[in-house]
Amino acid sequence: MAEDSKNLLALLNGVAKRTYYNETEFTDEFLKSQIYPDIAEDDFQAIVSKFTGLIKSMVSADMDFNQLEAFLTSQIKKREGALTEDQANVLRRFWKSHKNKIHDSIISQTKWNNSLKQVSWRIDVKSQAKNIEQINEPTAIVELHISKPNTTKETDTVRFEMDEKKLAGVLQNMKDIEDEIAKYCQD
Amino acid sequence: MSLIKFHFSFLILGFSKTVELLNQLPESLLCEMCQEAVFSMRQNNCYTDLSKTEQRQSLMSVDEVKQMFDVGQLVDMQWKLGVGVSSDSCKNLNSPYVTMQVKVADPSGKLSTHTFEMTVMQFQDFSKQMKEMANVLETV
Repeated sequence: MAEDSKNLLALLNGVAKRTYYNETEFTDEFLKSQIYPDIAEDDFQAIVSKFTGLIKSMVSADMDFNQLEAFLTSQIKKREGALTEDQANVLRRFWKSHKNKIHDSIISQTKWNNSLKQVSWRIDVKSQAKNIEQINEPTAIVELHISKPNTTKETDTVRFEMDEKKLAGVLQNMKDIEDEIAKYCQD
Repeated sequence: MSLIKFHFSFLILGFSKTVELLNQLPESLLCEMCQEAVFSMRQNNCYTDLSKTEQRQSLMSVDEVKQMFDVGQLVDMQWKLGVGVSSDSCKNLNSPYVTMQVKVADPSGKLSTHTFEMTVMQFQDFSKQMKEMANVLETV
């Protein structure tokens, strides 16, 4: 891969890291010093600005690869500030590696409700030894670890038990949800 | 037999871990073990006079054991399936999610409500755990 393309790909990766993956150490100063140490500051800013804008458009539409082609073609045909074929190739390569990752990152960043961090469970058997009859009644004990949004440290622990009947009810709920997901989410 | 296990765990895990383990035992088994310990100490001429109160203090509070064992009851579980359509950073978000509301009654009867959201993948994992539980429950 030519030097220019290599540098551009590195720049795009850096921009993605700070914009979408929360890796804030990839500042402009850092990127310039690592990738384009010799060019003028203004030129560097122009490059960053242009390609950040292109990435933003691609991310906003969550472009599939057909849409990307149409987008790149229109960018190449522009009268001013047109994209070169090499730059278009870099964008294609970038999108192939980052499209899904960026989308997932945005989804988790827009989750502003509590999350379920962990589910633990055990099965107990209640036996009554001092009575005449020995009753073996199995119970499920569940522990849900629920975390508040935007904090990984604050967790609520909810503990409850369910008998077979209750658990059967929960399983029915699970099945209903699965049916609805299959109906509405045709990915 | 249970006393041997207690000695074993003490050796391997140390004191505080063993106490933690003992805390999870049902009351009846715990009493049995205490009685065994007293019996074996008396047999070996250990002049340690373990009265009932001392037993409780030196091992753990029986009340504590009871509290750990008396968990809340699941009263109700409600759910909602939603789809994130659009956001400021992505106009085509297209992200389904499951929101669940769980109502639990603690041993005193007090109700508490808990809500949380899951992605489809997280929900499927949750569902798998529930099914696993049911399988084990059936075989017990």
